[in-house]
Amino acid sequence: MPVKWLMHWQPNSGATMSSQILAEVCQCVEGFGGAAKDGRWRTTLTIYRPVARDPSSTASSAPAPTPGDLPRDFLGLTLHDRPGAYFFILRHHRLILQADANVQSLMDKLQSYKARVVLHFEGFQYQLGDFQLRVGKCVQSHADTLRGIMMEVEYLPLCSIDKSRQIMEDFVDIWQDAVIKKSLPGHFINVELNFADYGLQDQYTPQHTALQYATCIVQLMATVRS
Amino acid sequence: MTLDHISYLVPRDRSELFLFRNTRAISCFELVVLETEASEEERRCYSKGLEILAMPIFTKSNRAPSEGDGVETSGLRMECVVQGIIQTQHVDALEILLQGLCGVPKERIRVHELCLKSGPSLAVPSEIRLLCDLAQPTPSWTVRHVGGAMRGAGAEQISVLVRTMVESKVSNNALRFFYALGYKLDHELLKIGFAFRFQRGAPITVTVTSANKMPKLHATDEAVPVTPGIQMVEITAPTAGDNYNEVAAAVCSFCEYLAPLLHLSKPGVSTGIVPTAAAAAASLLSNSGDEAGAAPHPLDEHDTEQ
Repeated sequence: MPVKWLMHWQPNSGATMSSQILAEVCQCVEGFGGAAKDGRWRTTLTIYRPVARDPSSTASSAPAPTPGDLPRDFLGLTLHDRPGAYFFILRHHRLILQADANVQSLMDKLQSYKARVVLHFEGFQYQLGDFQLRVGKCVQSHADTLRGIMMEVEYLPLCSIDKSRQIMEDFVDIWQDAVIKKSLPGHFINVELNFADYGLQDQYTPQHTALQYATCIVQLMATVRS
Repeated sequence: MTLDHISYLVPRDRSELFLFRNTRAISCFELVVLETEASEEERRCYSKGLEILAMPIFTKSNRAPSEGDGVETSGLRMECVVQGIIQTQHVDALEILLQGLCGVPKERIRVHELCLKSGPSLAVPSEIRLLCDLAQPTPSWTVRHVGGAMRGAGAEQISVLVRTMVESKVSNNALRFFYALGYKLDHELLKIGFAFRFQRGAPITVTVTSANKMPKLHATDEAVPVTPGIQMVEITAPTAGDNYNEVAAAVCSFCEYLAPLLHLSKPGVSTGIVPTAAAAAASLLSNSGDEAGAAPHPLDEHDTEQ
């Protein structure tokens, strides 16, 4: 599948994030000659927490539990362009598992991990020559608070991460110029990932996208905290 | 609706409360709740307050799947299942019979099955099976969770077991993944045999397999049969929950065709081997030889014994 870069909005020091910025970023894209809006998209990220045995309640009967063994960085993802698939990511273990979408009902049945937070990345999609751009916001399920702004840049002709690097960098340079001209209080950052840590190759797959979202959410949380 | 008309089970999270119309008694409903993990205390509690409980049950069962919570809750899958055993020497005859009944080519089965159980750190005990299909040119992995059997008056009256089953294809790092989640390997088996998949009132799958154990961890090439003389026969058919009576009837009527060779019953209800099996097998094998001209399955000593 075509290569994608997932970039997130980093506000300038002291600046805040608002839906106004998102609107202006969309205007930026629409300002490029020939950018055509073609639909909406949504990717959903779920943060799971283990349902660990409570040490206090089992002190007398069961062997000493070790909830510290259980992962606390367990994420699940449904990607907008792969609705039939589900991705689990354990960042600490450098592990990504691809499954069918109904693996979520299997997880529900196990009751060993519960979905604690559900975040949606959603917005508009634009076609711009060989590029497809998806600009969107990150919001928590059943809440309107803006958690972040992000953008997917997809270069349709190439599937190799290495071969597409130069053209992606060139595109991002042009894009940043457009953002600067608009005097927006921040800029988009692409965090380059070492996909090989997760056993992924140079040929781009949906697993690469899932990993980028997992990294993006960490970055967005760090931005919100700071 | 009175207590007399209702049988029920209560799962811990009350997530699988189902309401089925009892077709045997009009205007009487049967609450069939899946999963078997309710504690005695929970059952006492619910038996007292069933009418109060009925409200959330109705609400849950009427809830549309995937209701904008961002998590797709794909429809709950259920299956009807019966099992039986057959002596290995009669498996050829069973295959001929199945071939004749189903009219589809058999599929070869060679599945490495790993049973994982939740470790001590997890609060709710659970069990999953990782299945690796070794019959494919590229082995593929599936994770399966088999839920508790449906209970209640309706479930007792049918001769198949109805249970939930969720299955998903997974990438080949699934074992590492579930280890990381705190699951431990309980046991592993290599199942070798064949399957027929066909439509007869319902989509039915018949599998005939021998269970093999491995002397060393994951050493599927060195697997040896657990019970060399006996093989397992299993018939499954998916059901949507509201049509389990029809699917169960389809499975039962198919089982009757196999009755001379083996008895099939709910899992856990052992019916043993059938006394008529040797004669039936001999007859099948000899008929098969006559009809085919060139016998696909060589006659064995049982043909001359009978």
